[in-house]
Amino acid sequence: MSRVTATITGPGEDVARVPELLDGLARAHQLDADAVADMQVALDEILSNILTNGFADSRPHRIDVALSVDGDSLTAEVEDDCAAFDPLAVPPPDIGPALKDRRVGGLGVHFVRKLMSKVSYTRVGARNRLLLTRSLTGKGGTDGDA
Amino acid sequence: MEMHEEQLSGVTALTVKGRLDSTTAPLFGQKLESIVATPQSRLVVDFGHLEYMSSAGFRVLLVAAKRAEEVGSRLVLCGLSAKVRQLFDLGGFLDLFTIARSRDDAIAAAK
Repeated sequence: MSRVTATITGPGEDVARVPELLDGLARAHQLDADAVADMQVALDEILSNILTNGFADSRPHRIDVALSVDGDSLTAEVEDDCAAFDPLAVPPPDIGPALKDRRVGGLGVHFVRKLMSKVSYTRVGARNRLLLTRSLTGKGGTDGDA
Repeated sequence: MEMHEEQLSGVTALTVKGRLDSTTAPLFGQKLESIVATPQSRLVVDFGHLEYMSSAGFRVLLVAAKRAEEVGSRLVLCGLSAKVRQLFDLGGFLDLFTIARSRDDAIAAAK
């Protein structure tokens, strides 16, 4: 098993480093490009959600990210010390309306659900813990037709 | 993310390379806005070298498409890889944007 970690204390440089970290891991293990792209999207959604919502109270916070490759799965553990928030409880977006009425709210979590093979959320003490897993052998998608 | 802009007989072709995520989307959004906000402008966005796009990228693309519609500009997309097309599909965006099969088709459609 191979594992790399990063700590994020705010938007900007810290966050921009995460995709580089995942690319490095992908290169070292010659990971499937589709699986890596799916994980990149999922991580961007989750981290930007935490930075937008969790960090909104203007208190100092930190996010710990650990990326690992184990056998045939790529996993991201994302832990933060923000207010309790379960992204899996976000309702799916309405993707029906025409252009002028379309909103992008909820789309990020929708992508996470569709692209990952497994997603789990737990509140551990004062921390949110999200586990994202993408199979390296099959397609993603936790809820059916992805 | 890198952007490369070309002028081709009245059509602006913008090639986007790398990642469109929450870090890079604002810059992409500013670029789109600066082009489509001019009434009757013609813009082709070539995603042929795009690795992936997160919802932050879709958000700015949606804003630009609405803007284009308001001012009579035209926005045509091309170069969607299988991965990028899957993301458009998951978000329900395939029918919302004009998507051409090739860059040449996109330029013809934008004119």
